Amino acid sequence: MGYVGVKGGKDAILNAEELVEYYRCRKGGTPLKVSQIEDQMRLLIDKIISEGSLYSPRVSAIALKQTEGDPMEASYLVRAFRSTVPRTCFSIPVKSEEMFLIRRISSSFQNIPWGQVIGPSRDYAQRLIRFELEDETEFSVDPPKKHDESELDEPVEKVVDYLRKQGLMQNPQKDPEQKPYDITRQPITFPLDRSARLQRLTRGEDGAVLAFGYASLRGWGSVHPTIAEVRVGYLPVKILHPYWKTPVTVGKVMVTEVESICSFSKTTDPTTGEESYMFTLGYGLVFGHNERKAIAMSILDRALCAEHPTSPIEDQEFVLYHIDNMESQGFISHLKLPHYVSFQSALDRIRSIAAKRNETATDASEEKEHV
Amino acid sequence: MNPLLSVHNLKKIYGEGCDDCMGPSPRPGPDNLCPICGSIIACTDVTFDVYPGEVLGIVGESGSGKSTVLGCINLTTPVNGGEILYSRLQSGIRNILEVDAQTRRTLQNIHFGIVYQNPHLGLNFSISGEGNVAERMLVADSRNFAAIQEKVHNLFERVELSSARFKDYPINYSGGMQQRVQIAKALINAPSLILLDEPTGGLDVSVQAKILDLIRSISRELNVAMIMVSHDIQVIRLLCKRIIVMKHGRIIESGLTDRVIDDPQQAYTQTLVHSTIQ
Amino acid sequence: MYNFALLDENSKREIRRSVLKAIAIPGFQVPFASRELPIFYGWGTGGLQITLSLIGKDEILKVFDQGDDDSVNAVNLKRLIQLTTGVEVTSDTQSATLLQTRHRIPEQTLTSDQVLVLQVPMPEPLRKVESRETETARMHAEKDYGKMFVKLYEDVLHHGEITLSSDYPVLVFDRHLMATTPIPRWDVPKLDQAENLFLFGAGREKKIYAVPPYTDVEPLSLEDYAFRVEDFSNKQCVFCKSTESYLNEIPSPEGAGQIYACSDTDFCQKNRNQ
Repeated sequence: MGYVGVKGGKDAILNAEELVEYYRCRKGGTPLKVSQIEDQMRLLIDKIISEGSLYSPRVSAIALKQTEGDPMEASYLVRAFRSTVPRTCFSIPVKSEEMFLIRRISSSFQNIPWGQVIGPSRDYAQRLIRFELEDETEFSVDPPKKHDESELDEPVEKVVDYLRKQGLMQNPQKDPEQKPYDITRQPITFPLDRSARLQRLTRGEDGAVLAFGYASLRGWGSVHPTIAEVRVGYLPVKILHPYWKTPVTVGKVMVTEVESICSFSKTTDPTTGEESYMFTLGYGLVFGHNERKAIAMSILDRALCAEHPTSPIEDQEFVLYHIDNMESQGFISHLKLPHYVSFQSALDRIRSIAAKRNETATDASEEKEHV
Repeated sequence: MNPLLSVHNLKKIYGEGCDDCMGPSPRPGPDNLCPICGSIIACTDVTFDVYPGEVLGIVGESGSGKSTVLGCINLTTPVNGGEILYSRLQSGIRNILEVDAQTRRTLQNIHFGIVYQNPHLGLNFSISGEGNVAERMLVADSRNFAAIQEKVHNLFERVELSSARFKDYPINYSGGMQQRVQIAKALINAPSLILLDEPTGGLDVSVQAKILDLIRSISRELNVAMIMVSHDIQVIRLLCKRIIVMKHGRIIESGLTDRVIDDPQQAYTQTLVHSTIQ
Repeated sequence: MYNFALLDENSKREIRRSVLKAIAIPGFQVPFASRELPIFYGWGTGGLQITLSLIGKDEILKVFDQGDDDSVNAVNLKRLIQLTTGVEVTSDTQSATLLQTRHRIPEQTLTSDQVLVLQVPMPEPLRKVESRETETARMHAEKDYGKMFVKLYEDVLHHGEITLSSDYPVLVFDRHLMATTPIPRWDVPKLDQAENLFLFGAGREKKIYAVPPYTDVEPLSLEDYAFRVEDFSNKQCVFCKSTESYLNEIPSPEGAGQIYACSDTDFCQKNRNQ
């Protein structure tokens, strides 16, 4: 008789955890400082903030350290932490014109009011590995002259508003009575309204948002936008003062905002009934500095507005059910769990069917013999 | 004799519609568009009766609204006006445009059967031919495999489907066989009305003749009422005692088939008759 | 650092409301705003959210995975619940008040003061025949389950048998078709007219549903192809010699189907102690 395990292994699980700790620090050396991760892994931290949907660079940095740099696992930790924190109040809507910009470009017009601000961007860099970084020390670092991060600190008119003034861009359909959906507190049922779709998208996994957006751009969908504006900067977080009921700024968050100009369509003004041709808008907004995700999100926002979906990317259920990192990695990983019982049940079926087949085959051959 | 089905002032508009085309007797134009708002008038002011056991023909060119009428009766196309009275529901004569979802499915599944020109509309290509027909009985709460299978096989023999092909998937059937399976599917729950939407449209002539022959013998044998839609007046003449001629979404002429074909009143009907029968 | 039973109180209350609704409409999947937990989605977060929302300080908890109290998933969940609540944990089915399970119902019959919480990966029984949520919602609303019976018919037609193995669909209270999580067919009859309450949680798919005590639960079947549980005739557990429990096959050099052991480890242990 072969090896027969009686029970699963609680001890083994505890040992596995110790082993993980060993691997995390296996080469000895100085443990990474959380503050270093936070400061020097800026874009990675931003990804975790965005997918974890909790604006805390510090918590994200700890999570990243704990998970040996696995961003998916780290953002999972952040989301789980988020579930333990009570919601004490809501921030009130802010206008993104109020953003303190560190970067702002437009691909639709060369000369825009306040100009194009390239800011910190690798868009034009050569993708060459800089081997000298291997020998970088705190003394050899040559920090560039300190920039004032908030170069533009007064409201800057948006390119889409410029188009709106000319009647060329759809106005947002605002219903002041309607509260935005909250996908962390309300069940998701399809069809989802736009505010809920945008929330699913902005929490979506970087790579998944990118892949779906790319598919639309390549022809599995019909959105091929011109970017009105990419804005990176800090937005104020405002709440209503609990006593005075007046807006108070309590902090700021870095975000990337993208407005895409998409194909034009015939629209009827709901109030005047006038018909006109107007561009449609695709909107992307993500926590942190992540331009490709925000652009892809703007494509998906537009694609999911399709009234009669013809491609998977225009299908709400297809895109929004499969874009979340927590749901996809969790379910894929669960395949590693024991499935002994259900597999035993499947074995029972396949053997029973095979036995039945054999019976029929034997019957048939016996009949033949009789003949 | 009381009618099985009475259609009154049926209207279907594609587009936004306006007061004129949404109202009774909209202004006619040179085509099936509303001359005021440009919406498509798929059908309007369509009124007719169907009697138990009769085969009624609807003829007209493509875009005349004949298939729309079938879709409205089968409750798959939402209408913009009118009523459809049906006499065989347990609750008596009912306007079937106003029934709840469950009654709607009972009507579609048990009381009516439909055969489409395009087999992809009528058959589920992911299950066997036999499963397609069995589905209708299963939906009607039959739960005995052997009993269902026997009934399906009998019907397959009646529509002359070769027994070696019962378990095949629709994709492997010829066009004629697909229509035979659709006919079996329409018949399985002994409906009181069968809707035939150009059932022999895409078939070659010899197969077409066999299928028409089958439909004719079934209608006599089972005494089931049928509405047959076709652009081909020959097909209609073969099967139908009464005929309706449609153009631009409206009924322009109706009557006994022999009368309409021998003595067409409308210019359009005359063209239709003379262009197809020499 | 963390609240009792991890989740904040408002979230727990919200989940309890969904549980109440689920009990009121047996077999109906109540959508809820599922939270992310320190356990992966797909690893029992639905069951865990129900357990965390219901658990009180006096509860005696049993968590088991595939019948095994010591299996990885069960150990994980148990440690988390214990860490955040400090409740007493047992492997004894009889003395537990709140039981959370992955894919098994205990061999020992549960009583009216026990609640069994089941972890559900795929709550939608119609997903096998329809991939779209909006369409399955309509099918449930209209009790339009014809497609599911067609699946059974096609099974018999092509294979001579119903091929559904675990996660066997059942009709609850003669109204809603319900997925059985995948428990094996062996456990399905235990749902019918049971003394205890069954709660089902699907975290990733964000649904909660329930079978209240003394509710009719009927496995889907055709009249002449009746529902049948797994066949373990002429087989027995290698440890406790039981012939009346769900057995897991143990691959061995002697060949397939030779050695079996109880899937329910508590049941097996008690049998051996007797």
